[in-house]
Amino acid sequence: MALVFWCAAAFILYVYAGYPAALWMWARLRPRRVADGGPIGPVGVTIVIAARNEAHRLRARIENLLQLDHPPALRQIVVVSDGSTDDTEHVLSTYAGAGAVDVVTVPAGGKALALNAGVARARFDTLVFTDARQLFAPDAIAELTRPLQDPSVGAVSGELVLDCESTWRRTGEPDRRRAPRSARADRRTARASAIAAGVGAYWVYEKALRRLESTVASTLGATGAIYAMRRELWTPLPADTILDDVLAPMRAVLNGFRVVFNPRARAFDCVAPDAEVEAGRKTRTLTGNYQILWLEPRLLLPWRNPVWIQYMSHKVGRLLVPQALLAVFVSGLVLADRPFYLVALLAQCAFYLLAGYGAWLELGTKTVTAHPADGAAVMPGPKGPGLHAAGPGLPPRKEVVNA
Amino acid sequence: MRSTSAGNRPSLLDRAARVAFTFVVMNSAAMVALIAAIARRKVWR
Repeated sequence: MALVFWCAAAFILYVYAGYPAALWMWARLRPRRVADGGPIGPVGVTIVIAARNEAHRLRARIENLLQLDHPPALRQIVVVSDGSTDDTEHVLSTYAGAGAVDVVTVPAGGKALALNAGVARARFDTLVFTDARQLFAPDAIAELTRPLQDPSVGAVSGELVLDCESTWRRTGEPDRRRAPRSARADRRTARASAIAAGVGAYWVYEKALRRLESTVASTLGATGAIYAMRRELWTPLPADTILDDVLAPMRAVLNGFRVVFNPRARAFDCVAPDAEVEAGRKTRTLTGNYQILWLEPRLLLPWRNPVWIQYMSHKVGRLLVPQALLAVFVSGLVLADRPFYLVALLAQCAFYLLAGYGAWLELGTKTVTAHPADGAAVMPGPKGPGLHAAGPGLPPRKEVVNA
Repeated sequence: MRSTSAGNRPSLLDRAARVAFTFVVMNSAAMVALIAAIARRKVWR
């Protein structure tokens, strides 16, 4: 039983600390640079959005895309309405009529099929994927496509900046894009959802890992909110794919290309307002990670997957940590007659009590009436986050933050 | 009862509690995901 305890504990420690530390060392010792051919002119991009019943968001989303620093002649926006039953198609028709957007209407079949339909309409060789919810920084397309100058790079993931990470909040005056935090913003931070604060911390950690993985070879997927890939590497996704933003880039990796992370290509979003929504989103993400093992079993083969060590340590490791936590707890219970294991058991109990306190904080935040700006995405200014651009009362997004 | 310091900034305890809670939620979600993965395997194929 002691062996179970130590193996499980070592595994958890490896996944959350040992692997990041080893990766950090690897990145310091043998970084793999992306060849930068210097500034080049803008390249043609097709931006693909799959939308179902997103009428309330699409106007802001499309306006954001139209205002990016990218020549209109080199930009195609394809929005796929995936069986929408609200005003989505009406909103899109206004833009389609002006020639700003190519609209594809398909019967409800899921995001993967919608993306397949959107890519089939692409005119340019570089595809950019995003969702209806997030907003791009003005230079996002230029930053996203720059690493593709390197012929070994097949896809580029941008950075999703979550509202809860930002130290900048809405101040109320539309022209104060660089204003310091207001007292009201501090009050909002204090009552922010417990899960939002935790997810913010988790996302910072996750992005640090992605940055390191990108430095040594490839990230293990991309951020669905903002990523680009070469059209030649796109293969149609199976109909029920949950994580298109992992499957498509990982197929590029399996074909010998790198997927790199460029934190200067930024999209902005906010986290889910409560634990229930976030837990559902997380479950979906992790189910998707299991699904990918069925869809691409080559990922499990070290002689087929160029980033096998990273994939097993990061993606598969995360899937197995709960079982390891259970093993540590149960073996600790069995071995509690020995002082060391008793202390270890008490430490675990203290941790779970702390988590219980966090749950209580979460319950407390639910009783607070949200400020109208809560839940709105942060619209970036030229140099950093500034104003909230989306409106109040938006339902939670359905996109997922990859584990 | 909430332990917050001056200026309504969350205390270290509150922040640790939030991270611990998120960790538990995420790992619980992984267990649910495993069950979902097994249950939906035929659907995926």
